[in-house]
Amino acid sequence: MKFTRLRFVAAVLIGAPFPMVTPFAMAHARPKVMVPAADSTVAAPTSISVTFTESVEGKFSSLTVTNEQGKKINTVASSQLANDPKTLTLALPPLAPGAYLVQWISVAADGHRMEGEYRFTVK
Amino acid sequence: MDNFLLLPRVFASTVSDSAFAIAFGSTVACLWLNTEDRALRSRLRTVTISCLIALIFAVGAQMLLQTATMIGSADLSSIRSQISSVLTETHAGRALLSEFCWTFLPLILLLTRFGRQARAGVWSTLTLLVFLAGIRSATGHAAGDGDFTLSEFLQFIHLVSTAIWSGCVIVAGLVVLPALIQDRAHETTSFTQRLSRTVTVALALIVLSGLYKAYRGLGGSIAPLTRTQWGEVLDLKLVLIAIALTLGAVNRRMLRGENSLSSQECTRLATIVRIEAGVMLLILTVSAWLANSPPANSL
Repeated sequence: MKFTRLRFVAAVLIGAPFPMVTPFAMAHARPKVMVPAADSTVAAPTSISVTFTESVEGKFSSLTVTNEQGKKINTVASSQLANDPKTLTLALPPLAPGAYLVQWISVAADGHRMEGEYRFTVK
Repeated sequence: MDNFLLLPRVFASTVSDSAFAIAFGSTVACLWLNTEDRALRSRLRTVTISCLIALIFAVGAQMLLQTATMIGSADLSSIRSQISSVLTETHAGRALLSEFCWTFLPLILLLTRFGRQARAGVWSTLTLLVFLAGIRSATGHAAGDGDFTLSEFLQFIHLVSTAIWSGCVIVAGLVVLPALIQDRAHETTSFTQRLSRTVTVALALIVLSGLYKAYRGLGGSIAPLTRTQWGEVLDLKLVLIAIALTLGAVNRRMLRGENSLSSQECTRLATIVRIEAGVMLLILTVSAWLANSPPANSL
């Protein structure tokens, strides 16, 4: 009984500091920084990028841009930045003025997939 | 999309988590039995082998479901064309493949003559299961930060302590105590005292690692407990844990004395452990639901 209590105290002492020193991880990757920003009006960009809340699996995560008619605009696939596994970029052909829809898919390191969309306008 | 194939994923996770916990629990329970009790030890080894086989099938199903989730399609030909990429090129896939392969080791060991040895065989199996827990901690939400992180270490502690708590209680309630209470009151008392002491230590570790996981999943606020689906499922898990703790406390109270329990008390104790085992299976199901849902802090 005494030994059990001793082990309990040891476990508390070893375990107690952990919640205080570890930063949060979200386990599901959501967009954190979007360039151009969501709902913004900008000059025609040559590329777009989305930085997620955590690292994504590049092969199974993607960005796609469509115009107001729903036609896919990008001619190449998005790619993951070599030095930043949280960021996907997508090169774009010259864009005409109008509204564009960015559809994103993210697969986080834990294998969970999320998807969503946002818009920007080219002036 | 967050709920894509949620039910099959929860089911596969429940089978996987339960099989792992029961395999762990039956191996630990072997250490508490008299080495001469060959019949019961043999039954426990059969339970462990069955659970490891179930675990292999469950992890195999998880590989398919993981691939389907990643590609966003349940189409079998798409899964077939992408599964090798998922299993070799992604973190979650590699972790599942490692778990799948490693599970064969304790299974093969248990089928050898060495694996049947009373002490060395049991301890070797337990060591392989602890390593398996290490691999399992690299899957799920804890892997969000990458490998060899504090999150994964705490997940490892949580997995081992949960396997000890739930696995030992399930095995005690459904296999060991029904066999012991017939005419072996002294062994019943001795076994449940060891169970109670070990579970107390495991519980301390579960509470600490569980608080950390809940704190992380809730994003440092208790508001999502009532406002999100993840929080509500966590509430349900906490209620079930409270019920299991209450049942454990009732048994611990019965075991306070130094003397062996009477046969009537043994029967009552075994009934309570059996109910506790049922609650444990529910807890494992709810935990699998949590592991497959987006945490509140990601919404």
